[in-house]
Amino acid sequence: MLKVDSLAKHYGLKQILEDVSFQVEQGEVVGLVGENGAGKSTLLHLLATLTAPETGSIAYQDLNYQKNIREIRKKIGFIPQDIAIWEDFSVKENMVFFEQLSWVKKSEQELRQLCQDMKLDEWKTKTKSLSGGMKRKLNIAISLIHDPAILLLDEPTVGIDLKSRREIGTYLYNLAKKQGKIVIYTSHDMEEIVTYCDRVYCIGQDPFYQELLEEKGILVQKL
Amino acid sequence: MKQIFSTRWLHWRKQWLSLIIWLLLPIIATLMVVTIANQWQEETVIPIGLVVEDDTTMANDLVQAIYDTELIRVHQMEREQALTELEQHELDSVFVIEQGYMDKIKTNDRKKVITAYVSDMSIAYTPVKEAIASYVQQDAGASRAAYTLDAMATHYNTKPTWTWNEIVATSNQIKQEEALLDTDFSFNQQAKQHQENKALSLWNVWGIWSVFAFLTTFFLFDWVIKEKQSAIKVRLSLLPISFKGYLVRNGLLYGGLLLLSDLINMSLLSLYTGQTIDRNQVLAIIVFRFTICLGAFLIAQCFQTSFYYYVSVLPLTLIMAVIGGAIIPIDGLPNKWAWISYFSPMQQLVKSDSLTVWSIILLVVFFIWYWGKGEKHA
Ligand SMILES: Nc1ncnc2c1ncn2[C@@H]1O[C@H](COP(=O)(O)OP(=O)(O)OP(=O)(O)O)[C@@H](O)[C@H]1O
Ligand SMILES: [Mg+2]
Repeated sequence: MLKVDSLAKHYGLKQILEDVSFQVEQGEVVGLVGENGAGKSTLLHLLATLTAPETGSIAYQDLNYQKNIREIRKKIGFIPQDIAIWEDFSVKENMVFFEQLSWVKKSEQELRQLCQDMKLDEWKTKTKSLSGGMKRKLNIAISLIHDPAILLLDEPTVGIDLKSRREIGTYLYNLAKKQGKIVIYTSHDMEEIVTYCDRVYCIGQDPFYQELLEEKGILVQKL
Repeated sequence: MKQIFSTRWLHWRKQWLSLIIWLLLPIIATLMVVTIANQWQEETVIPIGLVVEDDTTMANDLVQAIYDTELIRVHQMEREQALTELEQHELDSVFVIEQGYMDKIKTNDRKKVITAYVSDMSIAYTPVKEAIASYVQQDAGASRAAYTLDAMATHYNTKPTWTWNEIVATSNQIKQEEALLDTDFSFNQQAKQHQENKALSLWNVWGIWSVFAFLTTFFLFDWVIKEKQSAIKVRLSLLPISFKGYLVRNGLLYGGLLLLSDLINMSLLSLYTGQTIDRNQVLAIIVFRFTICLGAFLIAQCFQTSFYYYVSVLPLTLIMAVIGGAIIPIDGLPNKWAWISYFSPMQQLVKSDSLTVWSIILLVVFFIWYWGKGEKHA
């Protein structure tokens, strides 16, 4: 269980998150929606230990984010909104690079399989010459190398074709349902949110998303 | 560390050409500078006017000896023309072997065997005079009686309107030379000094090398900025080794690679200069390499974009080179303020010191950086 308790975060004078509390159980898929600049990425960065909150605490099972940062990081699979791959490496070299530095060892076969699960068949191709959607797929695959228990995906499927998007969505959904992983992801695609999410949190002042999703019968909580 | 090596290797494989060029640049640039400087030195021989008014075997032998003297180029001509050229500063100084040279040597006549003229811009008069005096001494041969060389020096003003006659009129007779024994002694001293200069120039090879090594190290360390600013930083921050750990280990790897290339450079340079390298110098190179890698690493931490980093590296190199006396060793700043050179790592290398202010300061800064804030949430 991931437990978030009265988080606050500001950048400069700008208060981004204020008194944010929620809980996510193992095996849950949780969506984060909100307008641009609402603070979705900021929240995911907090959950990924990439920034520290001013107040509040986060804990995963019995691991405290402040005290057990190493153990927490081992469990985190963070898929950044900005594609984070080495542009002059091939798909294979990117996977091998991060596998070498990763928490676990994987064989080349396993790494390749992971890419194929993301519907990325290219292997020796330079990532520079991949399409935008293909790079997105690689961006997800790299983050899954160490079998993380908590998946934090920041708009992972932008620009990925509809068919692949469904297959990746199903794959991630199954990770949650079959292996009890926690999946938290942001998206502006409401159809995707409706299809895969058990629950949805809405960040920001604009009630637009909340109304839209409640019309579709999805339970939306405001953070 | 094995993982760091294999992941860095992936990068190096892509950049092998530029990497090799950067690694070879210090030695290639140094050899180029040294070769050009040597050539230039060979070309800048001192032009001397020689007027021979005595046509005897002894005088001719003396002329031959003067021709054979290193670093001077002899122009033999009439006295009047020689003085005109001296006035126009085409000649550094003029020496006249006076009529009756042989007779005077034989009869041990001290007066006016050789007359010398100098201008106010002569730079090589004294060493050349002493060289000639030593040849004359050889001519004086068996008779070991004290003997002096009289010389006349004419100080030309830069005013080109002066006529030859005026110059002669205002010319002063150069002071009586000291006893030949003395002259001989001072000539030896000159020779000794010359040798020292040569040794200094060999060390200057290291000074020049250190400047290029400094520059290339800073340019090679731009990976720190690139990786710190890239989107990948997010991934690197979540690794078992923290982001700082990742940077430090890669910095060590770069340091090792550069040190390896230094040792190769060192052997090549020692082959070139014929100078053997002792343990102190190897130690000095290791400390130098460590210091500048650490410096480049920490300075790169302060920059957000590579461009401003590159722009700052050039003046930094220049300042370090000048205060370290790596490029202008004689009459440079370090001669005025000795302490200033302690602030340059080049000085440490040139002097083969193994401990420097910089290595200590940088180590302290490094530990402040490493244990400082941002370690957890890199
Ligand atoms: N490093 C930072 N420094 C200062 N302000 C920041 C920083 N990161 C984000 N912000 C600000 O915080 C606010 C929230 O940004 P965030 O990226 O979390 O929004 P978001 O909900 O993910 O938006 P989007 O849908 O566009 O991805 C924005 O106003 C942004 O300008
Ligand atoms: Mg965002």
